[in-house]
Amino acid sequence: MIVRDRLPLKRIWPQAWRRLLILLFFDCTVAVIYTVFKHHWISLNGLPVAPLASALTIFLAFRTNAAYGRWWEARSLWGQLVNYSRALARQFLTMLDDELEPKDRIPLSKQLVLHQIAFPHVLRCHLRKQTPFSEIQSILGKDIADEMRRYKNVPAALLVRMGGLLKQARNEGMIDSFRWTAIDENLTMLANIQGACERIKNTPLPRQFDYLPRILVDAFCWLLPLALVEDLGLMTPIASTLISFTFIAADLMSREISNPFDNTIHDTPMTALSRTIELNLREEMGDEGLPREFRKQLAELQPVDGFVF
Amino acid sequence: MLQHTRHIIFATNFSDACHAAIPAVARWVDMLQCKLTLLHVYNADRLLYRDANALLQSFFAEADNYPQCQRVLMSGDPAEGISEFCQRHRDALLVLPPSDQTGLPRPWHRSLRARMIQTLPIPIWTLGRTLVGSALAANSDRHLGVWLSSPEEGLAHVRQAAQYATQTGSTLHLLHVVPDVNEGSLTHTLRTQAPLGEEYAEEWLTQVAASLDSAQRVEIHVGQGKARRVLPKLIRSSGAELLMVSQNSAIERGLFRSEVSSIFRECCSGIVSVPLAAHSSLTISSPPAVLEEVA
Repeated sequence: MIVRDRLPLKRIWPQAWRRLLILLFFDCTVAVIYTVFKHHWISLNGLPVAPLASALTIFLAFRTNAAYGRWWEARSLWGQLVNYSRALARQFLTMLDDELEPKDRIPLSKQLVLHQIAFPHVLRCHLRKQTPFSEIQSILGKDIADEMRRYKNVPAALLVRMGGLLKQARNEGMIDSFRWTAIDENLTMLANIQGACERIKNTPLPRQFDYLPRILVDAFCWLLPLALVEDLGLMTPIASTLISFTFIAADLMSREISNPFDNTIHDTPMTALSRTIELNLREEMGDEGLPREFRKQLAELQPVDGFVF
Repeated sequence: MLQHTRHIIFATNFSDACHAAIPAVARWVDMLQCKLTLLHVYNADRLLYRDANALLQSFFAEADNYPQCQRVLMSGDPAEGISEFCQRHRDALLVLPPSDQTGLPRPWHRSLRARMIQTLPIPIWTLGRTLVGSALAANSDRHLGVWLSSPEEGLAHVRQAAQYATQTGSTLHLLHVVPDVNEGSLTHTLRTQAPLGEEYAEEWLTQVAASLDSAQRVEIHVGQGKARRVLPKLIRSSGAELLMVSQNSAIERGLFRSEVSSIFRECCSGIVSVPLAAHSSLTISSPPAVLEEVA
């Protein structure tokens, strides 16, 4: 996610320069043919271009809205994940009774919080198609990481494990049915958030939304110098290229934000959010009762070059 | 060499390409169960240590949860810094993503990757082009490609690839591009002994494949035409997710400067340049000054 005030031109330029260069060459050619060689038939009345520009603006606005809708929904889902993680951690720590006799294991409530810490990391890796096992190993231990390797959908498997731990707590008399139901509802919300994120990830913007504006932008950019050359003469390339750049940039930017889980600068800042969740939950849980290898000293993340990932 | 890697050095300048390489690095770390070092060399004239350190700490933040991860901050010239650090870690794999594509000509640009590939005695992983948002790098390596450009480059990289393929249970794909036959082909035979016909090339690769004891499954892919155009097609058709190349064919030597071969520009897979065997016996005359600081 971009947090700096200005979006540097160099971010747009690499994707736009080829189209702009070709258009600039075409604009110059049109201007020279009209002005120097006096081929006035080449100019086009501005009247048909103006409605095309209006139609194009509607298309672009429509797609930008749709793309922004996806981006914002992704961000909202991760906001919900932060809230539910905190709520679940509170429930694990306060609704599970203390273990009656000390056992040779991490207390179940803390095990559940550790699983909850791992869940956002695993979901992030799942969405970015990154391997989560090193992180699982560090948070939950090697045995669980090895167990998770058997699953294709690791976040879902982790939720099942959390359900299993809750069941174990119930069998050991640490929780009654009412509290179990309350916690299970929040676990279901995690599954819903995962499902919604997967829907955004796996369902692209309808191709018609993506393809048609691009074709229309190209058509408009090619027609534009023909409409401008009669009035602007040799200045046509400057005006035409600038106007074309506006449309091309709008086209590119809306396309980029439509995929919020693609490990780019336009992503939902999942790394930063999962770190925030981890910091919050570790603070709530405390280090007591945890073996040394499960303790962590982590810092808040800062934007890197104006971007939060 | 690659299969014995116990240390990955990820040299970063925080570019988009570096971010795009994160899934691939995460996969390497998990697969090889190795130590990860995030290395940044900053210009002390332009950036304060505190700011550089804050950037480094926030880059690839998930690595803090990896079992073995350290962040190393150095000041000075990036090429010298990376080189000096890598010279002291001969068991490492250096991850060096390409710089961001600006779309503008860079007449005075000196390729850092080319310099590293030429001088360092360790394998270097890079990308043909920035694969932002691609799922490719996160897949498991079940298909490993090796590009054999000519017999003169030797078979060291092929043997290493074969060992690596055996250890990871991957299929090894031997790739070769036969140049177009035209009037200029006469000079081709003066420069190299590479076969000029597809049948001869297949025969040569079959011999190479037979000499590899360790590889379990070997497939041969030969194409004819310009390497820049044909090699990406061969990689795609073979399904190779990682391409191993020799140090010689990884770089293109120009009159004034060397750069990473433009043949790889359109390749969508990770590329590992394997150093010449002779390099592994390089010795350092004097211990280098310790510049880095574990951040």
